[in-house]
Amino acid sequence: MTDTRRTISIAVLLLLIGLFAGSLLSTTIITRPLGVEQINTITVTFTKTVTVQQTPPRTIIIGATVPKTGPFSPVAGLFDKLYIAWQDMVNERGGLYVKQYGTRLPVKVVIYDDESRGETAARLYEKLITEDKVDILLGPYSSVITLAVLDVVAKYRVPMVATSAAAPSIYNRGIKNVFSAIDLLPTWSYNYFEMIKAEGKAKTIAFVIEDDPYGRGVVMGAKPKAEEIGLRIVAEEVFPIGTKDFTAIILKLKAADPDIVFVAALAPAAAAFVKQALEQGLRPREYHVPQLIKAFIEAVGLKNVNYFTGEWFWTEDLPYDGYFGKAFWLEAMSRAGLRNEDYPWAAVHWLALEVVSAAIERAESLNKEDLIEALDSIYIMTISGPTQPGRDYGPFTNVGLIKSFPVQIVDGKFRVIWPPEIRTGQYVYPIPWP
Amino acid sequence: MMSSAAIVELTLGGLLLGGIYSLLSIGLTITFGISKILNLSHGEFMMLGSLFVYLFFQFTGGSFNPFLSLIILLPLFFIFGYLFEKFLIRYLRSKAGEIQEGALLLVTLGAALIIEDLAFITVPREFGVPYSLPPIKILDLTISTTRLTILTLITCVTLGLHLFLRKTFTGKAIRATIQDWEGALLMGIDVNRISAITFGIGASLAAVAGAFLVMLYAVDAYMGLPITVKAVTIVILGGMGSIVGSLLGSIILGITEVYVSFYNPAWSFTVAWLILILILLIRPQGLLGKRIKRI
Repeated sequence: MTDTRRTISIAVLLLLIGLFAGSLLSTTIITRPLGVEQINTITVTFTKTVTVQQTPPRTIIIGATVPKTGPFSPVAGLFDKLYIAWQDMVNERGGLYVKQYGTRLPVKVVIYDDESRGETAARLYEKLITEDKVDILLGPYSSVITLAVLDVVAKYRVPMVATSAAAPSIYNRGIKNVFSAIDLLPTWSYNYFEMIKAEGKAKTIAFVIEDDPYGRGVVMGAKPKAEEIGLRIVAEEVFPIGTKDFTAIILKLKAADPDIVFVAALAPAAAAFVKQALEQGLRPREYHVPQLIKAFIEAVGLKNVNYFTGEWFWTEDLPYDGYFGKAFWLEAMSRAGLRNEDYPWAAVHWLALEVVSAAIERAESLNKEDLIEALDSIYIMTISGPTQPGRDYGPFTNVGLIKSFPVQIVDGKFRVIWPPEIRTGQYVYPIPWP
Repeated sequence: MMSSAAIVELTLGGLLLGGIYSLLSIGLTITFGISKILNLSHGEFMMLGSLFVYLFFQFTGGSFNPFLSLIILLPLFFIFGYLFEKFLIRYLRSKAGEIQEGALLLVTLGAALIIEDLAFITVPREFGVPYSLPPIKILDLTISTTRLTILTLITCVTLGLHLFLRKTFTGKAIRATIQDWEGALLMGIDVNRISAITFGIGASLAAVAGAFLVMLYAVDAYMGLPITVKAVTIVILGGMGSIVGSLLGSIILGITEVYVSFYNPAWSFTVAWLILILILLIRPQGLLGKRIKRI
């Protein structure tokens, strides 16, 4: 409805300008194929003068998929709105500067629904590259889907900035044209464990791990880090993707009686496990669910997740302005109808947009090799802090610097609990179970 | 070594899963007994039951006890099953001599695919009902009240069905029609009406199973066909047309899945299937089925 109203408003505005001022400069109508849902977006581009009509030499085309349907849709299904808000706002500012053309060029994001399926995503990324002729790609949601598109993206050597995908198995293949703004999954929970160490209350931990790149990737770092800070690992339960009944795991955890239950699983599986664990009376001193997001909370129930801890990549208290400025980011979230509390991964997708923008403006042209070179060399400030998407270390290539930080939900409100400089509330431990 | 508390909780979990399977497979076995058509869209009634409870819960803003939705669910799906028989199964049965048996199966498969796609358009993702009752503690045991309630309700529904089939005229007519369609017709039973009622009961049982399932697990629009395959296997294991056999087969499958997953979750389905195959190798007619004598 908002899109329609905005479309009509802009159309009327264009008509008026065309009739009375004669200064309408250029209009591009973009249709985004999105499965059954098709939304028309009108992008209007103005030059600095109102007397000369000038068509931009070309449009920068950025390709992406989002899971509009399937299991990941509650988590990231609305991120197309963020991409479109970014597109509109960048175009309202005149576009992105490309030196080869000596001017700012409008951007267009072509988005498809990958149905939360790897094979669909792989097919769509090939379509984006070969039919839509994109200049640069944004990665799909999740490591597992990103892994499925890697071969296609590597084959055509189109630059891609991954979004919510930081499994080590993506970045240890020597692929030179895939980049990430955030650090590898195993490092995400470092801030969380630093807090546990500083608090010094918890002594034991149990890991519940979904057998997919995300779960495995998180635990790859979390387990040694837990041991490093002196936590004793009393259980480590891996479950296959698609598991419905967690009774067996819950029984083992009850017997192990850990202080912390660390759930390394994507939101749908994490919710299924936690819901059953609570029903069956598993009451540890703390539940740590990195994916403490709206989809998880809605599936388990808000009152049931009180005092749970999770991980975020951005909060208003972070002192960074980012590539476009904090106000620009907040405006985009507002236009997309998203709240950080509900969709904390939106910030990660924004980081990717910041990296894409910086690379385009830094590159001499829209030539793909130039874009890859720019991505490889930039060091930029994002809303979550500085990052260097071309950073290589050990066997890994092109991983950024940004790590998550722990948050806790208390009486329906999120509080940042670490690091101390951005803390908005005290960490509550143990959970005061009713 | 497994503790006694673990044994009790696993057994309860297995009985619960088996109970849900039994609601589905008993419905399938009685509808197959009546129509002699294997309805491959039977699992879709279960999926629609889940979807109904989920939408009902969402529509009421989560303020409504999902157990109470059964009051609407049962008659609604009875009508749905009744009409399904009247307009699809009865037509297919009338063409049984003209159409190949495989084609009849394909029609019910097609119906399943259509229902799944329509459901997916309605809710294109996994869905579950975030409802749970506080657990109760008995000695060392902490038991889910939600699960206990569901297990109790499944027992009530199964006993109710048993009494209905044994004590009421319609129930006896259903059993008679399952045994001998022509014989029942000659005895003055309105077999078409009985067939439609049986499908109504089958759909209601499946929908109730779906309602319970969505209170326990996250499900999706495409769960119908895999669960139908499971139900068909249980029906074959229990003995085609045997209600008690289906109940027994369901409990064996449920308990096996839960116990095996205690040691290795990845093996729970495989071992359950292996046991089913083993039983069928020993008793090809199923647990309580009658052996067909070859002449």
